Amino acid sequence: MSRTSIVVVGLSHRTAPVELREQLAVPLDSLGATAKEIAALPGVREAMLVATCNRVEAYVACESATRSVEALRGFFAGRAPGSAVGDCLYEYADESAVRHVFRVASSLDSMVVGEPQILGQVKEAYAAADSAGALGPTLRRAISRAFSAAKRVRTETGIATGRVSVASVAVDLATQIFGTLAARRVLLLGAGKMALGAARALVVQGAKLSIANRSYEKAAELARARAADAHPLEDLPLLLTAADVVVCSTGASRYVLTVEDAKAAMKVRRGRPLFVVDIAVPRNVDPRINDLDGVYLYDVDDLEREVARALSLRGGSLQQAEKIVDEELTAFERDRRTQAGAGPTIAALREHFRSTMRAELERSLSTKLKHLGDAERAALEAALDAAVNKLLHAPTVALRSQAATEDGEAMAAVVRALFRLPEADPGDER
Amino acid sequence: MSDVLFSTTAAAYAVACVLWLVYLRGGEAPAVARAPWALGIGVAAHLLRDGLRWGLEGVAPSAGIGPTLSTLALAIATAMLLLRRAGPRVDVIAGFALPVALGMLLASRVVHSGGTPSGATFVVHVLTNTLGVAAAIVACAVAIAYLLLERQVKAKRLGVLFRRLPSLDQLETLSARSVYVAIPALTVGIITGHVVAARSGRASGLPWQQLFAMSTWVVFVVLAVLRALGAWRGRRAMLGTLAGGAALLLTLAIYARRG
Repeated sequence: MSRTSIVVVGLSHRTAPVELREQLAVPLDSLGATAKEIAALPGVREAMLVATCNRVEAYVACESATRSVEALRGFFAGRAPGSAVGDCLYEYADESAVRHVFRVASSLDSMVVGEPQILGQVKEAYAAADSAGALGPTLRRAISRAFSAAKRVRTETGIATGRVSVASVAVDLATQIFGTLAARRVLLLGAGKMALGAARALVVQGAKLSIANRSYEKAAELARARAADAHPLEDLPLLLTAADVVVCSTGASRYVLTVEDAKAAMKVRRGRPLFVVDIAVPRNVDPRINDLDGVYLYDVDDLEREVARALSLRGGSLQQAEKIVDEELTAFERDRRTQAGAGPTIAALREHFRSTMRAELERSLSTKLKHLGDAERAALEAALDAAVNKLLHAPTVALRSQAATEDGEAMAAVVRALFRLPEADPGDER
Repeated sequence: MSDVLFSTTAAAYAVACVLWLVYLRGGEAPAVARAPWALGIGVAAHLLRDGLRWGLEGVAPSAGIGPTLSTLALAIATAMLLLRRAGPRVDVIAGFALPVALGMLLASRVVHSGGTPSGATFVVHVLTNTLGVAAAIVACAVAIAYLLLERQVKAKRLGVLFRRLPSLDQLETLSARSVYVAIPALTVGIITGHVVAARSGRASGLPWQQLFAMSTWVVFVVLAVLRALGAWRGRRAMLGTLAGGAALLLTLAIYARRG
């Protein structure tokens, strides 16, 4: 009996530059449809797509890991034609794939280890794939377990407390450029979660906040909750002349802040420095503005590189978190073996006994026992069902307990052979 | 006694300078805590040595090129000692200025001290020039710190300097203020220098010395005007400051050679 494989193919901040991640970016409202598209690839049964500014990963449940990896590589290559995407993709299968999703959800694979956004992003990907009908029992179980692992990591380790984050690096940089942030003006372009976090961290240091958005209503809504002033995005040239720090995270697929904008603003600013934080993917700010005198641009990769460097100095919580992931993985694999090995065999065994009993009962009721009334027939049927259940109780318990061990598959195979049970559907892990 | 104090001063300045520079290259924080103490000992020994020479040997701080260089070194070292009051992390700037002070101190021993004029105007000339040079050297040391830090921030390679130098804004302010102090002091110094020279009936310096002295003054004045107009800030202003500082050092070098 072959088991359903779990495979992940993708790229992340560790393997691909932001330029390539931009090409593969998938907006939140397309996650479900793209997952469905992936689920329709040859050999793929279930799919989920995680797409954040740091990673784009396709998780699939499939019959053959090798075939699915090939199909997924082709899928990614098709979305970034002419790029070196093939060199940046990594792939994991089965236990490694599950470990990977556990680590991703637990924020251990994030450059900003311990940052909370990734769990929410995986949950969004899960919900999108589920509502698109791309999920099945295999991925549901794996991803749900990943959420449990992430919860344990957050509550049982200090990984999320006092963490080094993109926001804290942005604050450090702003402080090292401007000294105190009191009375400095922060301009938030867009409404991305990470950008809001960074802006909040700057405001806590005493900076004043302005929010500009393509939708003025959205800007006003955000501004109301943060004692900030709201502006439409058309005010950007004017806002740039007053701001000291600009944090960008819009959903735009082109540059919102261009070299020309920055040049014009710097003329009016009379050389006052401007610190620009571009957290968006695709990037919102033309990278060439960093060449201008007095302009300091940091994109998400730059910030996270600093975070990684700071985190490399830290260790204890990470080890603890990795141990939790190991424990959860062991438990998941044990359950999976139970489900995959014993579940279909037990179901087939019960069905075999029941159908045999039912066939014999039908034959007796139509011949020797045809004088029995409906009540007696029902009682006899119930008695035989109870007998089957009692007879199968011990073998069921044995199959379940052994399924969690290395001998589980062998035992299931013996039972199938003894009773000539049909091969189970590999996807049937009920 | 004078020699012992001189050696103590030189050693203390050197130790303080090395401790700060090692710290800026990633050395341990506890070691740098000793740097202000070393500088303090150096300044005290320097004061005592020059005071004793003035009191016991009659060598006034302005009595010739040697004593003047020593006075300039003392002024720079004292400015560095006081700099720590300007804010956190600012004291590390001393690592960039103390080599100049140490160089002046050592030069003060080897240059030939010719006869010097006297009188109130000459005292004002020496005092204002000392203040102007010290302020200019502070401005240059701050400018070096600014340019190194700015390069790290711009290149996104945040190293030890990022964590140990004051903010760019603080450095910009400090450099600008130092230039603003240097300009009037040097202005008075140059004017009184001409008055003293006219009275003593000799030229106020070699043509090259005059050229570089005026260049220093012009660069700093232009820099101050451009700053006030908002045309120059940051990197450009710091490069301008260093240009002024280079002209000043050339002036002092010619002055020392003249003997």
